[in-house]
Amino acid sequence: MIDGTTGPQPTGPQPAESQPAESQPAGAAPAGPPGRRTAAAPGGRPRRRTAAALGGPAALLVVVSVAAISLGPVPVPPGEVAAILAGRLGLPVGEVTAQDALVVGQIRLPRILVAALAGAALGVAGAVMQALFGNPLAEPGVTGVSAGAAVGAVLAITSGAAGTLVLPAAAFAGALLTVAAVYAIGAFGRGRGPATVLLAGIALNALLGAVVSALVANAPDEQSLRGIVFWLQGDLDARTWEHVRLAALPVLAGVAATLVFSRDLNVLLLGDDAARTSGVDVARTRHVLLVLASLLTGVAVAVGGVIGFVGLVAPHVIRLTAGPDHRLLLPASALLGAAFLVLADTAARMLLAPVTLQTGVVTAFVGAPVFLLLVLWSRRRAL
Amino acid sequence: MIALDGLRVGLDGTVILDGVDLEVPAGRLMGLVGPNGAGKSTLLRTIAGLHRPARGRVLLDGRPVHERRPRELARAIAYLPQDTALSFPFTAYQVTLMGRHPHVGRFAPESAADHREAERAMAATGTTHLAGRSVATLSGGERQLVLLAKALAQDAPVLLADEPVSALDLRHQLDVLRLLRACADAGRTVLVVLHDLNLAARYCTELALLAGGRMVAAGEPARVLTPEHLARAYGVRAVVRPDDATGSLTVTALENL
Repeated sequence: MIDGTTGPQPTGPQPAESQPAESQPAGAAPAGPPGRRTAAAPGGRPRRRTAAALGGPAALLVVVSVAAISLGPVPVPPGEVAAILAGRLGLPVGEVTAQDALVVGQIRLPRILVAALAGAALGVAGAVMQALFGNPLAEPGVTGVSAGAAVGAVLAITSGAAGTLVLPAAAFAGALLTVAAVYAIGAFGRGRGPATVLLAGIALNALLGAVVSALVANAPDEQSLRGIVFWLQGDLDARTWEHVRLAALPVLAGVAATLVFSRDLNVLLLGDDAARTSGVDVARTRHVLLVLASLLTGVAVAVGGVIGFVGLVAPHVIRLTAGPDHRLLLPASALLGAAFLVLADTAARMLLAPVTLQTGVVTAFVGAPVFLLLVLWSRRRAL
Repeated sequence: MIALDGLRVGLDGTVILDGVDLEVPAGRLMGLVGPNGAGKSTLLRTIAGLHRPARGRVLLDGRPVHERRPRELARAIAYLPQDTALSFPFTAYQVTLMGRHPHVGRFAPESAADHREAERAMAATGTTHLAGRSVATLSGGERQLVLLAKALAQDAPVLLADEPVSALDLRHQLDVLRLLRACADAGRTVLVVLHDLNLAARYCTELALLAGGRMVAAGEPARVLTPEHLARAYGVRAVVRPDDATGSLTVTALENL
């Protein structure tokens, strides 16, 4: 009798049939086919909705990227950008000047790819943290995880061990330790409300900032000082193909691995008990996802320094337009985070040209007001 | 078939349940009743695998519950918590469909059969009209019905419900209890925590009366709801008699002892 395979037939329809009188006033019976359609629309994810939720940010990313490549001290028309990009992919189309090809290929393209990769990583890390910490305001910068990654990177520099792989590994380790601390504080303060995570983030940001300041004061020479300051205010200036190679694999693999858990993240939003009794291995899923969020944050910080609010802005825009289902939210946040950071970086280069702003400054200009809006909003209605 | 033998459960060093024996065969609707703090919810949560017993075991078809992996357990036992945080704006339909989580592969979307199960569960709970609404905007009672729909969609042979009617009006209380009874009559094992003894006596095939973490009595309602048991569990003098209208037992508390 207690058998998952025989269960559905006798038990499923029975309650429904035994209740025609009750279900009728509820609108089940008369609503027949239209009721079915409304039922399928929100959860059934019709293709059009999926396509719009993913296609919109993807198209935005392409448009923003082409615009970003063509803008700069040496303007390159979009048509020529397309030709150069096609040429790099082995499709020679039309004539391009050697200088334009150099500017695009060696300066702007790697910078934009780094921005896109870091933006995707931060967008996904933010969405994951919001679900895991049960707090719509959580994101790598706010929780102090980016600062932890920066401390890791700075320690690698000042200890003179900053090899190609050591630096991102140190950033990842710093992010992981900070995530573990935030998680432990959140678990310890359970029942004290979601604000605990934010307060822990404030404390950790202050603490890690102090660590960096101490390291700055002890910087052995001016060059390492400049290196350290770079991590404090995230910037994408002078990114090269080496940075692209460094970030591409971990970001793409990290985002892909996170996507595998998107349905688990949905169920986790119902709370730990409901998730566990719905078949989610809560502890293991949390741990895996925290490691993945740390990896994504660590890589983003390793190639771009501390750039805040991307993980806040991207997931919230997607939630407002496409809903909270992580199967859409995560990939769409990756695309929108990428587009947002490319746009922010272009604004940083162009707004006050020839003076360039740091990329993190621009994301803060946009993100901080969004953060405040969300704080005010979440008081009025559940996010 | 659920069997508990000599169950002891402690939380944060306090013993909540001790020496609890109970057998619930398939096809029964068992009501867990008792005063506040008797350990009803803890018992239900232990059966759901959320607490690990300090002593004794929870056996489901002869195998301990806590030895099963969450996914396997969720296919066997559906649990409806007393209160569930629903702060993210999922629709009622999306929440109901989450009941299908243990049946859906990690890399696959829900099948047409999963959607059918969810729609059927919403129809059975009378929540079809709420399908497209955000759960964040539902009333407490509506939310409870949607979560019951999710538990039904899980389609497990065992259904555990912690005070499923506490936020419901009279009409919906009857609906839900009749639905739970229909589930039991169809062969499921259903355990439900109830506060209202009269409703429990009317709809449950058996009752388990808990007090102070121990089992006072278990069995058919008529054998559990006696003035002696009620005096021992609740500390009240009560009369128990058949109700004129329903024919089932009603309990009237006269005074505190």
